[in-house]
Amino acid sequence: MVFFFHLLILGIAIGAIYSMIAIGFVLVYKSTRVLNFTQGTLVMLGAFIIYALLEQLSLPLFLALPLSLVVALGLGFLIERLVLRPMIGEPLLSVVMVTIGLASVLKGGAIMIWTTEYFSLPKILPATFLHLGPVTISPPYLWGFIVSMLLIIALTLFFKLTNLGIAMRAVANDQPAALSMGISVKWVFGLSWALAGLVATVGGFFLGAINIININLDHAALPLFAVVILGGMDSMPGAIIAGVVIALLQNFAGGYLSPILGGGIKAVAPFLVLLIVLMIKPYGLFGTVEVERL
Amino acid sequence: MIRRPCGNFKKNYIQDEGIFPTRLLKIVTVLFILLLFALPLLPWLISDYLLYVAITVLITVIGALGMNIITGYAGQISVAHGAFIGIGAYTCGILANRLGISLWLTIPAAGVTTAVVGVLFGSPSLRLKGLYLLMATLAAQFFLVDYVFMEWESMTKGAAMMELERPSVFGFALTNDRHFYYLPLIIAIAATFFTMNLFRTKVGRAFIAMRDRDLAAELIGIDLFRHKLIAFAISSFYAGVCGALYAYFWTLINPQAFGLFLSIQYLAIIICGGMGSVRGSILGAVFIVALPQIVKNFVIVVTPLIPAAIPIGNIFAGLETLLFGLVIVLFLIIEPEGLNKMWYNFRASINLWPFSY
Repeated sequence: MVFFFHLLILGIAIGAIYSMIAIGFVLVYKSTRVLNFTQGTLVMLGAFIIYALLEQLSLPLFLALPLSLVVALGLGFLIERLVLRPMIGEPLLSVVMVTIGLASVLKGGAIMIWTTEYFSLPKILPATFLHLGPVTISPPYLWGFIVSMLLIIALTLFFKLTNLGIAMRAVANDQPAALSMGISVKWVFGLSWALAGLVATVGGFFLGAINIININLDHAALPLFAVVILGGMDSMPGAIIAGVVIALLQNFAGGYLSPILGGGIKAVAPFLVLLIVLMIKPYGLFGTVEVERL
Repeated sequence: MIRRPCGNFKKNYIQDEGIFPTRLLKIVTVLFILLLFALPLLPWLISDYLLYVAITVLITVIGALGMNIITGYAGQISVAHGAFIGIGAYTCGILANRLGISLWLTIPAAGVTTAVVGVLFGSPSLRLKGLYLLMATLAAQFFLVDYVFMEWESMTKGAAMMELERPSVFGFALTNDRHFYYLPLIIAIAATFFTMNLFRTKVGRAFIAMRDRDLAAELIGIDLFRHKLIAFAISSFYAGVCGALYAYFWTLINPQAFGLFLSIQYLAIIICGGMGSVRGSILGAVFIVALPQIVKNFVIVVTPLIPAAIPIGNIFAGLETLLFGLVIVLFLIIEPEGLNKMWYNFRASINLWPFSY
């Protein structure tokens, strides 16, 4: 039973991080209709940026963290302006492929700077070990959960209350109408990518703190595809719920099924769910059903 | 395929549907094929290293044609091509190792098995299209490679890798690359001609109609689901044959070789080469296979010229990944129709010289 609670609690913590990163994915898809294959690479880059600022440039904490967020926002803007802007109106496969190509460029650049070695982030999180009954939660999981939740709430408030957030929702809802109301769609596109970069960086920090930082940290974000399909590609609440569901499923599959079905089941389980969800409810739990007319 | 030099009139449909629009093209093609057959006989021109690259290109051409059929012609985005190639490689390896079957049967069997698997994993296309189909094939890719290939160790040997011997034809073992070369060459030529002919048939035209507008295609009486499955079957058959040749060529089957990166590589081939074009598949295969080799040789040549004080090793380590991505991005932004279109533009500018615009 202890094992069960262990898997449950760690699953929820990881799930919160997945949910947060998946929101970046959903944001980009909602406003620009781009399937963002770069998100995993942005997660990896985010972890490396924080590592570089803290460890390699040895900046103090209060300077390094805001700076890393600024870098992440800037990177998101830059990606949209340089790569995705020329692709507006191109066929689906081209747009998907451009994000895959971009992921490769960023990864190549990261190898040039940080090599393929393993690094560990400096321990900047307060060393609070939370004891929930028999289960002990280590700081990266605990703070990952708390920060992800805070960021999700902050983003929700941003979309509900601020003018910019409402403008972003308007663009997602109806682009021509938003344009005619004087909303700068280009600016919203850029902002979506910037926010995707931001959540990826924060998520990358925690995933990097839980695992270890390496050039292949982008694989840690692969279950995200299952998350966004399960939740529906254009649904924020869907992403939040599906993030936790997929992380729990992955943990339980790893904990209970891998002795029977082999260790690979943990990595594959989210994709099996993805396949089943696609067959039964192609637009996910909360996604908008697309109706096509000739 | 529609662009032809002016003054080249067709008087009947048979001429109009011909594979070669002009006689010159026919002659050039025959000469080119003869040259390809002569290549291994010219050791002073083709070193062992170049021959290795040439064989890789030929095998890749077969897989690229399959990729172009499903994605370029039929419009169904698939990122499971790498895993399908793996199915072909493992089928070939298991049949050759366990049952001692010769290549006359292993290669077709690899193709057929992969076609069945392809139809199985392509069947979600009944309900899904576009991004959602891409996701379903992504799931298939991970399931096959990370689970079936890696974990089913009694069959595939998993990460320990399966070994295989080079095949023999009529009792003559193709251990030398100069002899092995002819196997992928003949199959690649056959695959190319089959593909060119496929798009002169009813089924092939139905693929193109399906790609251009699926609902409209359904309205004019094309059974979408049937044609999607046929497209998956043909494409996967190519992938299986390609995989069997990889297995025979490498003589070592590593499950990691068939990961997502291989699928992306094949997508990159048809994007750089040109979607929906046979010539594009070939040009793209040459380009994407040559790119890392050029980078590798460039690094070997340049490294001694740079003073040891400058830490250049890291930069070169990432160069290949970076260039691969950069090539995809630049092609998509600058020339989305790929090398095929560049070839047309080049030929047109020569034809119209000095009045090209």
